[in-house]
Amino acid sequence: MENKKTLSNKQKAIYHFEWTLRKYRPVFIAYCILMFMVFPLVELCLLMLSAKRNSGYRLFFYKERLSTYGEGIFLHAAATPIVAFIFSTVFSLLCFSYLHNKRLTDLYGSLPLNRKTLFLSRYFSAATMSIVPILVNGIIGALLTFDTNTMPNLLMTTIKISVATLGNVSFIAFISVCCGLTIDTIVSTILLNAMYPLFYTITIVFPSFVLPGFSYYNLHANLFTLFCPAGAPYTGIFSSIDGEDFFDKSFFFIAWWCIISIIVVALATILCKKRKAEAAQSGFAFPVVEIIIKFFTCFTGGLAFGYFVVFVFEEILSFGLGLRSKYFFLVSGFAAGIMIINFLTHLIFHKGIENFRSSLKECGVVFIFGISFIVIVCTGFFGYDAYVPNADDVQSVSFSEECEHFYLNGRDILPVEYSDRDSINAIINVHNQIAHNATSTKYLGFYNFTDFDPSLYNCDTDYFYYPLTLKYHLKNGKNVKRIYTTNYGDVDSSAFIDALLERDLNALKTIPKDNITTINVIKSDVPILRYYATTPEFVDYSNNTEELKDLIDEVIKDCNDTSKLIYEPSKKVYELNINYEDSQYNSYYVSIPISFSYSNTMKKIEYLKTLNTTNDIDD
Amino acid sequence: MIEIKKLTKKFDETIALNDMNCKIYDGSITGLTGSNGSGKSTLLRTLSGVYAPDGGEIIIDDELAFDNPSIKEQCFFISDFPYFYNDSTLRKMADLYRGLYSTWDEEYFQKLCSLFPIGNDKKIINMSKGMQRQASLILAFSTRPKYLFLDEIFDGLDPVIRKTLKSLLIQEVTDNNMTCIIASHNLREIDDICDNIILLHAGNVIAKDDTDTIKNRIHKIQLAFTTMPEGDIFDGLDVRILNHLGNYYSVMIKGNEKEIMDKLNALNPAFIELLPATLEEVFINEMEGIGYGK
Repeated sequence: MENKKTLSNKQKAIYHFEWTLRKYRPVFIAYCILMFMVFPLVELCLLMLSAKRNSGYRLFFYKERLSTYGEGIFLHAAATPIVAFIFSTVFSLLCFSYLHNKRLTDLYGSLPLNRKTLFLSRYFSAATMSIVPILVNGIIGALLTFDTNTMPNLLMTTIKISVATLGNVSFIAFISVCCGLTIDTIVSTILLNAMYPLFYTITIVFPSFVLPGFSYYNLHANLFTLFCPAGAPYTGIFSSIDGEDFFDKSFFFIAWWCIISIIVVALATILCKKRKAEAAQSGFAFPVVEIIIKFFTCFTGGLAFGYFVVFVFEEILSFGLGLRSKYFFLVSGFAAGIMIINFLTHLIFHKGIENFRSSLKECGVVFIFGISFIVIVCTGFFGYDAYVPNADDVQSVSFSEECEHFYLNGRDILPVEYSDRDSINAIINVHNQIAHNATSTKYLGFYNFTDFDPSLYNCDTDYFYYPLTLKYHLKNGKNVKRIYTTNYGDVDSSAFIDALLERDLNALKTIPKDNITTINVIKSDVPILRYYATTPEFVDYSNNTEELKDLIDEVIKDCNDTSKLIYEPSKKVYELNINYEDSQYNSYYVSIPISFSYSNTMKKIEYLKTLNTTNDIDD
Repeated sequence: MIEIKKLTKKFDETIALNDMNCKIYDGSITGLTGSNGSGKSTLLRTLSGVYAPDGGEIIIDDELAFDNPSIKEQCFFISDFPYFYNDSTLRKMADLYRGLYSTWDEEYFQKLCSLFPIGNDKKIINMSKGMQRQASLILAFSTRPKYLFLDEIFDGLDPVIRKTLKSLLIQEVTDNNMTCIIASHNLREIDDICDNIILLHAGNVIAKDDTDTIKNRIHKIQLAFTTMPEGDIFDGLDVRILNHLGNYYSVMIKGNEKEIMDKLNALNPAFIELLPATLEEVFINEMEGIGYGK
């Protein structure tokens, strides 16, 4: 028999890829239709409604809504990932089912393709079927907006969903190679997507209950779904949707999911070549997935159970628990939790208790890791709790960023970045006191992990609490951030306040009046007098805006006997707030509580008020 | 030519193929038979590249066979339970093989479709076991394989189709020098069609030779005496007594035919007859000889 020319591996791979696409065409068409209905169809309907009513205003309004991250994007961002996740999972399971069924293994294993080519052609088939409808519908949807501002955002959202979907296909490819059964692949995919975010959360939340200076505010949305392709589109889109760095964050998001997909598929390809075909329908071909999932599950479940045990005993024992007892119950609960979770996952993966004894080794590893984690965190994470940067190493430091006023022991610490030596020294002094107070709460070198009290440092108002955030920029370019959410006792902030008042008085003495941007005189939260340099049309509370600037001279005159501003917040009658810029256009802000000690200033304010009679300012 | 060198295949602790060695020459039909779990299907799966050997190697046409697409393109494997998707038709399955085998013969495919009456566009999954096997055979022959591996292929085929299959196999071997290995417990079919036989037990080759030689290694003899000779009449013979009634014996004796007959004739039997042993009798004798089934 005369053979035709032998087909190359590449030709066979392409043919098999195309054949797989043809094979699953009905499911693919269903996916395309559903995807189209989810996003561009609704948008199309809105557009047609606008056109039918022939109202330019409505069309404009519709476009406005879209361009301000409105319903079009929201629908795309909220609904498309769910559909994409479900169908990409289905496609992946279909494409890699040949690894989990003995008879299918006979069929595909004997085809004239090597294992790597077969696996990769199936992978690219699954990826193509999963991603193409997202891209096509995303582009159609973006074009339909007829708005150049909205299009890039929609396209970026589309790309993010696509790369996360690629990640999902890659993860399932890897899990499929490791598993011998499709049901194990499904269970592993669900557990990985569910347990990794919980694992990440507990590794951040537990230390935030214990470790001074560490807070759950450190939870990062993209890290939360680092190994969770099901949730990744949501964190990728919504965590960066309102920031100016939308595209910067997007770059890292897209890069991460592309890189992790390549790594996971490369690993899967290597394993695929080593995988024994007889693993089909018989447990795990490679235990790596089982080990990873057991690790996440046992650690998370064990620690949560340990904490729960402490909570229960603390509640039911009327005399309460000492710190030693708490740790005893935490560790005991942790160990019990690991055993329970391990038993459950073993039952799920092995359909029985066969080889359960060997899984105890894995429990031991998780237990040792968990105990090390608890010990390290509860003893201060290698000095993290006590660390305060050396003043000489600090370039600048800032307090809480979340609010405009920050109260420490009843005094307002303005949330500005300080770079002058006196302020830095004073802030480090305050930080040292907090760190000292915190570390002194240790008992036998361990922190209490149940006394979480987020009510010490308040900001803006009495009822709105923020953690105290200290952010150092060091001269070597590194940053140090501490977030205090727990009451560690009073600190003496007078040195810092003094440094602040001295700095502010010096600034007032040197500032050219032309550089003042706003002046506000407030009484009981009501503006009495105002000066806005940039928007004079809104100046309706003073007929003599220029004279307002003279208030600065009066303040300086009143403080002449001291080197710093007089600070009597409890006796305040007015509040004088001044914004100004330096020659580099950096903005500064000074807030001075005007008490009767500011006699000249008070007189001037009263005088200026009399000039305002036409404006009916009610003080 | 297929060369199997020190081939070992294990499933956890179970050794399915144990250090196996043998050669299968081109243009032959080899029957693979043996006890249950002897490694027949495992050997076929390893030959076709489904299983990776745990030790040793398979060399086909001077090339290592495992994961070698150019070698696999010359082979076709029909498993004992061929898989078909729920929506698979003969036409759709042909679409899969057409692009992967450069040797695919569309004309022959059409010819075979008319030879085996199963219908091109019917769902294979709804067909009977025999018809599913026919579908597999159509696809297999259409790829014009140089090496064809068939696992329990006669199972479920009616006598007419069995005859057609045998004719096709012989024609392919004769015309195209195809090599075929058939794993089966159906010794009559193997006896009918195979040039060579490999007898397996517990992963080991118990016997391997051409069919006639295998069958001639053992002899079925009936003999009767008017007066029973003194002592053990079968002393020095590798004998298995099938039937003993008074002075009548029906026995299977292993060894050289002439030597056996000379020895037995020396006992002056009243009646002695050498009967041709069937393959099944040879199989049973060999298996019982190694203690299987006792």
